[in-house]
Amino acid sequence: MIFSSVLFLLVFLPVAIILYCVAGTAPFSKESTVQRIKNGVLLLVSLLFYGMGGYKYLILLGSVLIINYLGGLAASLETPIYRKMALAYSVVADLGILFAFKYLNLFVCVFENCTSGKTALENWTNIVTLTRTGVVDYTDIILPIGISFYIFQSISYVADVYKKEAQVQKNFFDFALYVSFFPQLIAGPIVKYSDIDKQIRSRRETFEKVSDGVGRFIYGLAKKALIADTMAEIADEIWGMKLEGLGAGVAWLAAISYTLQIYFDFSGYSDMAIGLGKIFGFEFKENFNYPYISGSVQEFWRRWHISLSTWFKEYVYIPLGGSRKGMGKTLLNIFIVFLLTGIWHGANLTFLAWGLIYAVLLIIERLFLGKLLKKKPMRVIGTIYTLFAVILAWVFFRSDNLFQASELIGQMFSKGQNEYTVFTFLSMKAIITFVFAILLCFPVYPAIKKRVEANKTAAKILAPIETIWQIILLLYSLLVIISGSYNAFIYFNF
Amino acid sequence: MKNSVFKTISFIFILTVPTIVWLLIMVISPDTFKKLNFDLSEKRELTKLESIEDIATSGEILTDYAADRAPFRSNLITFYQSLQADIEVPYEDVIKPKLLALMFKGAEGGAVAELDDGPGSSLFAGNSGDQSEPDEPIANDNPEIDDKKHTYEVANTVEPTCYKPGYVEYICSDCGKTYKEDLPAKGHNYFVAGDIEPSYEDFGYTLNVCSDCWYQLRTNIQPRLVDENYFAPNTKGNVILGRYNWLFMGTDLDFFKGSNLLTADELTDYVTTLAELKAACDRNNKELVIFFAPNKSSVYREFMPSYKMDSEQNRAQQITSCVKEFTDIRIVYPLDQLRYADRYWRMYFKYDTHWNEMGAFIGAQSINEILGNPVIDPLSIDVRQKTVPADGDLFGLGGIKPDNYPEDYKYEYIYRDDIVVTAQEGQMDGAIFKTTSTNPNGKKMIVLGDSFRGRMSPVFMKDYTYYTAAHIENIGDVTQDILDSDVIVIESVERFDYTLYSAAKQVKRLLNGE
Repeated sequence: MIFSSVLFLLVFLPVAIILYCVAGTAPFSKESTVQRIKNGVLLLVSLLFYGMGGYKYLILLGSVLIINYLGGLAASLETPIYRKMALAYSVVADLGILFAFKYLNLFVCVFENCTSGKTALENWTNIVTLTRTGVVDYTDIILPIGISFYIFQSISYVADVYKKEAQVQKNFFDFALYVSFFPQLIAGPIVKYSDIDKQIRSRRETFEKVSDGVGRFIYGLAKKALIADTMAEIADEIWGMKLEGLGAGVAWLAAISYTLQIYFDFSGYSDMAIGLGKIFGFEFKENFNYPYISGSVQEFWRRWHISLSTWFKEYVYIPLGGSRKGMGKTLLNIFIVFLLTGIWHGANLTFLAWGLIYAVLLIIERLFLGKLLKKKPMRVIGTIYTLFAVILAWVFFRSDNLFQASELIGQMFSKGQNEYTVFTFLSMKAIITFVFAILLCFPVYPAIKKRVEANKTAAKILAPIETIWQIILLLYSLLVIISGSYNAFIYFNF
Repeated sequence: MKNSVFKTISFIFILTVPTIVWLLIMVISPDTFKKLNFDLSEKRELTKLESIEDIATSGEILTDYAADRAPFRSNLITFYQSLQADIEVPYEDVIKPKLLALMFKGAEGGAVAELDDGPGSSLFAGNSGDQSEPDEPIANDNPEIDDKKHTYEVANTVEPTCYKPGYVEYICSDCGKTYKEDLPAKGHNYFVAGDIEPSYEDFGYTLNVCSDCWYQLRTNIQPRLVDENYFAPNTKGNVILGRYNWLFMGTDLDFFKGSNLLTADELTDYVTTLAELKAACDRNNKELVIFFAPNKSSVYREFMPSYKMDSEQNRAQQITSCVKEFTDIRIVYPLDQLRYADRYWRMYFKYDTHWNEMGAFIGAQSINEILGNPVIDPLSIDVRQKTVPADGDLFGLGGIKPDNYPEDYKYEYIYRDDIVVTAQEGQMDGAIFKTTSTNPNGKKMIVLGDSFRGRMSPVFMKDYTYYTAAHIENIGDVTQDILDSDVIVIESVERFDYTLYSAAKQVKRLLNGE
């Protein structure tokens, strides 16, 4: 189920909130019992949420829960050897599941083509376009939604319990809630168990917190429905065309549209997740911090998908030695981490290329460029360089395969007369959205908030104004979402 | 009220109350519910919930179901679309063209119109055949050769018109013997109504009007004006927005640019398939015509936006020239004929993918020409141009509203009104259409084609005693008609040459008894 849909907004969410409120009024004297009931309600709606995608996936989720719950129990035993084994088994099982459901298709494709006996060029072309020869009797597996997130979340739990950084959760249902809580189950942020442990056991909801959550949720919804989806229309249209003769203008339009789409889509989702968490009394950590104003790629990765880079730092980079074993090792670790970060996003060589671009740039920045960019006068140049790299990397990320990516990039740097103008793809709605999107890439809102909070009377006046604005955004987003179902699917007779 | 409380309550309110009100209306007043849930002409069925199994396997159905049944959906969508129109229409009409003009000042120009008197004119200039075959021989009994003496009186006079000869019928008041005296057709009595300057959209000409029947004839035709400016490609949905408000099918583009020519293998395969069909037709004593109705964008290439062409030749020309070179198949791609006839009448609808009545007429006559049938000079029949409000399938395909689009033309003509259709089965635009006429040639023609075949029927149903027109998908239903026919025409529009290919295979198998 996606957040920006009629089913979620007008059916699921109100029911979930009402059930939760009712649960909270359960007439039990012991607070922990009431908490149990509230958690139970949350777990139930979360499983329902995930089950809407197909009941088979619930079985998968259930298996992951059982494996990691037991893994956590075992990792908290006294004997070091048992703890080590528990960690090993859990990690292997988790990564095995992830590999099977996500990467097996690619693996089979590579295997088939490497043993096909055709020329190297043919094999390479087939691998790049994920064309199978069909030799192996295997049907491609559909990727279960959210699997990358909840597998990583489970691994972080067992690892933290092993490292004694988190308390083991002996209650299966509370553990299940941690992994499958619907706000962050599908698209993150990846929540560390220690961040959420206390909140599962006890939390207090206040109107203050809930309304904060509501506001945050509405901002996220607007980002997704109003900005990201509009940008997506443009990007999808251009990426769906024959790229020959596109021209530099349109190619850049496509790249920039996607750059904005993915930011507003993903950060919008994180906003909604954080907002929803707040409504139910949970505080999640921020996942985005205005990444497109970064002055270097290093800075970009401190501002983009923070929970993922944190996860890779803690569970891959540092265990490999981090930056404590000399420059050579450091660079290798960076390389490994970013290749993995790339491939985590999807089973396609394009994601590998995307990760590779960042790996190379981060290595260069580590060597000398980073220090250079930190100097004050380099701020603007650094931002331009970073944006340039980020936009080009997104072209790989979005493309169906390496060929399409290189074609589009080729068009971005082409000269000569093109067939299309950017206006072929720009409506007035798109232009207005672009203006807002670019504006909101800058930390305008935090800047305003800072000023306002310094002045108590201003805060008092502006709070209800912000509320009215959020209500307008909510209503308009609903209007756009409902209208989005209009599909004048036309049949014509030939 | 505290701000946070207000915000929370408003949120819950917005997410629940409209749904509850909607459900209440549905339960309490089904009539109001129906009225609010009006049809948006989406031309699709709203999602239905079929079985529990469907829901359990994929939640998408539920998502779509909820989306299709959102509260006040019809009203909200209509409101949103009007909002969109409010900002988009001024943009499309005013701002965007100005921006495009600024961007492309002095850019390379568009296609050039030519006025050539090439092979397309072979259908004109009244070449072969009679205008009509009279129902009965005109009795020219010479009253003086008769042995008896008759007293003849005028019994009946049929005045000749501009087109048709008339006669005076005499009857002997004594014995009742009759004879007829021909009155030749009057021909038109033209006066010059005016000189029209060539424009970008139409030719220049001297307009001659017949003072008797108001038939209009263009003479002294000059080519259209050429627009030197770059016209940026612009599409809406699957529709290309051409110059002067002309709309074209988006899928024409590769054919237009000549960027989808067949490979040598594909061409060989195609021509071989047609040759096998021809052999089967020869064995069964049937005549065969292969016909590509040109894409609108091939005929009206001057109205297309500025594209870079990939090849001088297009795919239909490639196939046609190859077939002509290596086989004796009668294949017609009447691009030149249509472009020639365009100087007199529009050949295609402006906002529709199809040719109009006159385009189809020219197409049909080009088939008659290759078959060696009598060809009626289009300038010799009564053709009337009528204006019609803007309408066509391209509006729907592009999601464009036809308001504010200029009028289009349609044509009415009288063709061989001496021949009468005595029996008819099916509708002219239906899947299968069969006629029997008083044409004395006793021959049977069948046209297997797509949606371009319908407008050719008014010609062929008069030119043949037995005529069948069927959609290519219905070949299975007209197998006997195919086996009985003397002439088989397989037609497809230029961009669907592959359906012609598979139809050719089907017919070949049928004729070979496979």
